[in-house]
Amino acid sequence: MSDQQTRSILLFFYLAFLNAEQAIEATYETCRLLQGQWGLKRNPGQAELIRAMLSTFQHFENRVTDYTSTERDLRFAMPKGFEQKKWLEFLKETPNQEVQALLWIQVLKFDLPEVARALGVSEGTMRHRVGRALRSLGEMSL
Amino acid sequence: MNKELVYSKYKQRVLTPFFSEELLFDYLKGKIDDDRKEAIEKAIASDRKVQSQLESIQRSLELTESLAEIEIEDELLKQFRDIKNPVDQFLNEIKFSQWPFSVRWGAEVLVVLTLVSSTLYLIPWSKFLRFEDFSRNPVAVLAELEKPEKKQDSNSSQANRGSKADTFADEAAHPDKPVSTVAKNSEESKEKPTVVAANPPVQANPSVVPPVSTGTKVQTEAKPIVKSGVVTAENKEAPQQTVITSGFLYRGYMSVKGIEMSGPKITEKITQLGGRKAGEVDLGWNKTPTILYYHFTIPESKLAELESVFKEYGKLKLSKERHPRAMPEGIIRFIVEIEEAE
Repeated sequence: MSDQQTRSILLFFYLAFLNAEQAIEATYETCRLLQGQWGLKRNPGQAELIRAMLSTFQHFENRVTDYTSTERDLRFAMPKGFEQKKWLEFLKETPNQEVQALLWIQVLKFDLPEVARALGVSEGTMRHRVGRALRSLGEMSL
Repeated sequence: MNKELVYSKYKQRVLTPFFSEELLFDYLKGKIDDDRKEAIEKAIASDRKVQSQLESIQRSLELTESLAEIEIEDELLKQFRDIKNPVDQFLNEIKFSQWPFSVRWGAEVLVVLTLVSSTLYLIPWSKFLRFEDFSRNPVAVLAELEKPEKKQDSNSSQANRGSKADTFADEAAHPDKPVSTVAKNSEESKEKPTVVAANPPVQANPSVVPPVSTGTKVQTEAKPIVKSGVVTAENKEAPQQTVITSGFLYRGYMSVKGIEMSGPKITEKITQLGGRKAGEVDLGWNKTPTILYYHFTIPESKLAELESVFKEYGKLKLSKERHPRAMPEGIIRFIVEIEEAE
């Protein structure tokens, strides 16, 4: 698995949980899941990454708690002006499907048709989810 | 009068504020057609709420662009480069690669043997191979023999039969008098085809089937179903029984002048050679007024002498046929019909 893919997984879980400890743990689990499927003999495709991340996310779904800063958070260089509390509020208020769609398509820049195919939904549905997530995020006045 | 009246809203695709908001992301991504684009632009220009939604989406897009640039320490990424599966991790922890070669080899063999043996143990072989669990059901029925149910008065039976020693162990009780219906008694082909006979030890004088005595009245009733060749785990003292799938029958025919005189002589000589009647009729039974019927068993060693006996009275046409009833070893069975020569 390439560093870029590892970075994508780490970033996805960090932004999904806003907790470095859980993000690293979830990334380990995703990597093991992919390793079990592909034996790390080749780099998994986007669809496989998405399915593995989704599977891991469902294990951690109920573990999104109030943000507590840890030393490990320093390993993620967040952009200036990023308000973590607002982001956490966004995570709590927005449905998981919309958060995931936003992260995969707008942050990780995965291809929208590929994500839709991996999730088994139409591209229109994915655009709808991203649009709603963006509007929710904008309303949080981040 | 030439002015055209517009009655329908054909091609007038007016967007509500709700749909405008829903389509804002597609509008920004350029995923909508020109008509829709024009309609959304009108909605943005005219509706303050739609305009506000567009601005928030644009802000969010800027934020997500910046989030995409988040940097992660190489040190953290490095942790995931050498990630191994649990087995590899375990092997690393116990430093398996540093073990001596012979120990490593032995450990590998042990693991493989354990896996194979546990797999073999866990596979339900009996289901695949349809093996019966003999320990649970110790009775194995090899074959079932059906015999017709017959009752007989023992007193008259014993009186008419004379000697009990005339019957072999495999012969059933029979009426003393020949049955009047010729076809019923004489037709050997009516015997049940599925016969599996036990193979008792060969004796010069075969044992007699003892009748069951019930007070003054003795019933020699053949059981409707005789289980032959039944092997039980408990019955270890039972003689060894061999299943014989088929036997032979010698069938003969000859013409003799004056059967009334020669018939009893032939019967006597057969008896002298150790022959005993088989079936239900006596030796030399008058099948018809001109035919004598001999159904008997005799030791195989006496075959040549028997042939010479018949030869004294005429030419015997003898054939050996396969027959489902198997005889004990050393015993052969004959059916000979002697007809009055014209």
